[in-house]
Formats: sequence, structure tokens, C-alpha cells
Amino acid sequence: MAPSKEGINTKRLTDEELIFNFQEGDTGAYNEIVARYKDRLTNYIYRYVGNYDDCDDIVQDTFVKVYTSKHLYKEIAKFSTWIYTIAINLAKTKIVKAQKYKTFSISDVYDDENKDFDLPDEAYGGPEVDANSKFLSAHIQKALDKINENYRELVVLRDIEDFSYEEIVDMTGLPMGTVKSRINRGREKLQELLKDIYKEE
Amino acid sequence: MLQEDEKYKALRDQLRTLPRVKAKHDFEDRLMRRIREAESPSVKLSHTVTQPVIKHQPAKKSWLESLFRPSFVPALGLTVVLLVAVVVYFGYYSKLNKSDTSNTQQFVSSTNQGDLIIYVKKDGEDISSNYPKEYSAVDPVDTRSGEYAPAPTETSTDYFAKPDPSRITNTPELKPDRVSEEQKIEMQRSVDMDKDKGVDVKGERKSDDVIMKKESKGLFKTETKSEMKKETSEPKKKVSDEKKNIFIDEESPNVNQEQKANDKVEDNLSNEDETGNRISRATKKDSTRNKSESEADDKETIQQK
Repeated sequence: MAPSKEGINTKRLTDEELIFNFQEGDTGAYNEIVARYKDRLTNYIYRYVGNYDDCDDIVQDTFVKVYTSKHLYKEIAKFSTWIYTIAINLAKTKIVKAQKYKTFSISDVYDDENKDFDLPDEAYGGPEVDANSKFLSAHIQKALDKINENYRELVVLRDIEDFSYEEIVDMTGLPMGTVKSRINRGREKLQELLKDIYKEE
Repeated sequence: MLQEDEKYKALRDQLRTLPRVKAKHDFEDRLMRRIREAESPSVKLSHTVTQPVIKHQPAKKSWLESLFRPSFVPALGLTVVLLVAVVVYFGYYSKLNKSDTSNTQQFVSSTNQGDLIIYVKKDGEDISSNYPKEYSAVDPVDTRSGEYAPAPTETSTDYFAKPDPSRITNTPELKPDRVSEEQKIEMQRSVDMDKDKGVDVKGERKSDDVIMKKESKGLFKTETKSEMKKETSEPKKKVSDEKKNIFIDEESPNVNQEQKANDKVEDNLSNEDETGNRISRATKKDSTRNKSESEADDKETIQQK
């Protein structure tokens, strides 16, 4: 990554200030944006898509889009809302294409117990992540994959990424009532799917 | 909103405790590579801007070359075919149709034998050459023979039209086929013979005369309805008279008187008929005598010669 031309400490700047600097030609500001949002977007897209490779491609595409379409951002909404909107739209397009040209891996033929999960080992941060947490996260991800993608999108934004309802409305462009109802329905279905975990607890 | 969030608090906590998925280590390097790839066309363009741009100007083609392009060949062919078809239709076909309708005229004529002959007259053709010989031996152009009326040269096909009075030939009225003079003479001779013998031939002659009169009336006179009625009524009167004669009532003298008066009238009429008949017979005899005399005179002249 190229350092900022002006040598300003970009880490103290807000997201909106960074994008304005980048619009003026500060590539260091763009690097700072990438550093701030790459993991957040990867986590969100992974929970939404359920495949790490696809997730990586989508996040890469999102940053390329930000780079090429920097002039389109205006200070109407938050930068986080804008970049998440780009990522959601790209993820939806990817899902639609995947459904259109549906392919299946050989691993899908086997039972769920033998199924490989696309969770990067290094992403978990090392040896402290034990096998139980790995299994639990895989089980939750499976449950998320089973619910409708409209519900999944909003549940992830609200309960995993911890966005407010207003921000979700801005990102998705849906009415508030629709967002709430979809989040509640998604939660209900997810709770049903994760009954066993709650019983044990 | 908060109530709903609290309702699913356990689930939310569970989701929050999920391990955060991080991007790959080489994420930024791959991203920069992709950005460069995306920027590369624009960079190339910026380099080319400094160089003088030589636009490729295609050589100007003549209008004939542009018209007879390979893509226009089917359309041009179709238009040419259509034009030829239009010219042929309006130039020849319509003329042919007109000649068919105008030049040829059909004529229908009927022969005396009841046959119907249709012959076609064309422009500049004499109809007499095409005239059927079986119609008449007389040339329709020839006017020397007045006895035979020339056949109509043209006959309209309109059979419902009124007949042309000029075409109707005045055929001479045929004389009724009556008893010939020789037969009359023979009949007269037989009557005379009967008279000589003393046979009463009055009734027979009367009936014959009446029949002859009736025939002559029917043949030569056009009977109106009133006359027909009279004729039909006359025999009825006679019948009534006969009935009156049959049913004579002796107690009614007036009726007898009337009957007697009627009888007298009838007798007078019969006398008049007899006199008329005698006169006619006399004239007939004279005529026969004259004929025989003339024949005798002829014979004498021949002998003298």
C-alpha cells in the first residue's frame, strides 16, 4: 500500500473524511478504507453467502468498485452504509448467477458430518479457538444458510454486524416495517433451527 | 424494537459470539493487482493522447457502388421483378382483356328448324361469310328475291325484349281450308239427284249450311266475348223454345198464341233461307255452266286450230 502523499495520519480521520481525501486523489486514504473494512465486509459477506472463496471475490469486487466509483459517493449517507450497499448488491448478483448456473461440489453428496466447511483456519486467530467453537460456528452458519436470503441478509446486518434499524433501512432501501418483520421472522426460523443448542444451554 | 431484541436476546448473543471471519493475508496485494488491471485501459489511453491521432478515413465510394452493394441485391431484384410485372399487366394484359370483351360479339340466331346457332362476329369480319348455310339458301345481302325475307343478321341475346316490328314478316293470311269447288259441284249434283228422286233433303242441308256458317264465322271473324256469349245463349233459347213446345199447356191460350207467332216467324225465316239457298244454288249452277261452257269453247278453239 502506498502511504499518504501528504503524510497525514489517516487513522484519526473518519470514513467520510477518508473518502473525500481519496476523491481528491489521496491513495493513502483509500488504503486506510481498505484496512478498516476488509475484515468487516468479509465477515458479513461470508455469513450471507456461506462460501469463503465467493466471499473473498465479492469483497475484492466491492473495493474495486469503491476505487473506480469514488466520485459517486456524496455526503448524504454514511460511508459504511454506502460500502455495505455495494457489497450487498454484488453478493446478491453473485447468488443469482450461482443459482442460474447451479453447480455442486462432490462434497455435497456426502453426509453433513463429512462435509468440509470453508472456514479459514488462520482466521480464527490461532490455537485458542477450540474444536467446540469451531463446530458451533459451523452449525450456526448452516442454520443461517437454511433460512431465506432476505431474512438472512437483515439478521446478519442487525445481530452480527450490529447496525441500527435506520442504517439497515438506508442500506437496503426497504421500509422500516418490512425490515423489522423480516428480521423477526428470520430470528424465529433461526431459533427453530438452533433448538438443540438452546436446550443444551 | 428493544422488546423484540430482548425477546431474541439469547439468539443475538449466540450470533455475536460467532468468531469473526477475517480476510486473507494477501487480500490487499490481490486487490491492488485488480485495481491496476482495471486502470490499465485508461492509462494506455492517456499515453496515446500525446501522439497524433490518425483517423482511418474510408475511401469514398461512388453512388453506383453504394447502390449495388451485395446486401441490396435481393431487394433490387425484387423491385425489378415487381416493376416488370406491373408494366406487363398494364401494357398487355389489360389490352387483351379489352379486346376479348369489345372485339368479339356473340350473336345468337335460331333457325326455322328450332336449332340455336351462336356465331361470333369479330372486327372487320363480314358476318355473311360466317352465315350458316342451313338457315336459308338465299344470301342475306341479296335483295332480288322479295318472296323470301332475308334472315336477321344479328339477333340480340336478350330474349325478354319485345320483338322488333320491322323484323316480323307479314305472312299472307291463309285461306281457310274449305270445300273445293269440285266437291261443291258434286254435292250440288247429289242434292239435285235427291230432289229428282223426291227425297227431302231440307233438314240435312239446313244443318250443313249452319255448320258451314259456324265454321266460316269461327275462321274469319275474331270473336269478342259478347259474341261468344250470344252464341252460347242462342242455343239455350232454342232449347227453351223446344221445352216450351214440349210442355204445352192447353189452358194457357196466350202461350199458344205466342207459340203460334213464333212458329210463323220461324216459317218465314225458313222460307227466306230456302230462297237464299235457291239463289246460291242457281249462281253455283251458272258458274258450273260457265265453266263447262268455257271448257267446251277451249276445246272447240283447239280443234279449230
